Amino acid sequence: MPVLELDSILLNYDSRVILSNVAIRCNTGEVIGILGRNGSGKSSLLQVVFGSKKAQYRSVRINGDVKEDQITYLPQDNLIPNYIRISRALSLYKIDQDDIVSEFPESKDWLTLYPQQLSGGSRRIIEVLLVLKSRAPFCLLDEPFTGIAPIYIDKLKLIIKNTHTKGVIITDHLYRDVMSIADRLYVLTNGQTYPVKNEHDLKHRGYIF
Amino acid sequence: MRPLLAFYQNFLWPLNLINAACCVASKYAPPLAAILYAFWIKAISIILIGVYVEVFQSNKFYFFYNLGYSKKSLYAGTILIDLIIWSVCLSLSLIVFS
Repeated sequence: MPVLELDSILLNYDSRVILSNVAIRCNTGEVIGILGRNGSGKSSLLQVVFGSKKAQYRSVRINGDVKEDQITYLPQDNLIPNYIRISRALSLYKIDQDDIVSEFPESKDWLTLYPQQLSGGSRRIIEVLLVLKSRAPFCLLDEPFTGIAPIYIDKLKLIIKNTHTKGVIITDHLYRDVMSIADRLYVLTNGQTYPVKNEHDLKHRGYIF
Repeated sequence: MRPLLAFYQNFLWPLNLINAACCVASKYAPPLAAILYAFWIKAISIILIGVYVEVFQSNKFYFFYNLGYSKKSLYAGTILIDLIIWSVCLSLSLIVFS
């Protein structure tokens, strides 16, 4: 069973320390939640782990080895380019359309459309599913619930929770939704990760009042 | 290869507009000079488009990064595909116009 381990990540912008003491371990079948205030470095952390952002130092290992192609990443911004039809995007990711439709029947009518023809929420749902159903054993979700209606958020949470073949690291400002599906939870503050268990800990770490 | 073609699609219009311009320009110059002019037009346009993409669109590559392609391999693949199309088009237009 693959295990993703990240530690010793050091990221500075000029003299400002963004990430300095981050250590997270994620097993397949696990959901790891990362919470933090705006600008605390959550997105930077995910980008460093994914490999798209250069850090002064990083150690990201899967089963002890460096294998970056085993991680997929959902950025905060749009993932699917506007000129790629949804059905083609699924095909490029080698995802069966029926698999998506069976999980999310509402998506049936979206498959023939281009991303800009979808509402922001529908587009986000498809992008989350695209990353979750891709073949990589680990995925990083950066604000996956942005712009999505509560009823669909609940559905996506169920899908994420039932994705037993993947390890998922998720960050979102809808912290109750993240807490409800996370097996382990961290708060990122002052460049460091702190394990938290409940809202009391979040208050203690200054994330909520 | 399919992801590379999908990435190339992003630049289909600007790159092939330049290719078309190179072909038309080859009509008005001797063959060797035409190839030389077309090459420099192509090289400069690729650099300008590359700079534009790097500045304004580099955060839109994650779709392809997830498929295992690095930024370098995406650029290299796109330039290779474009140069093949450019060479074929220019050769055909030189044959036709000569």
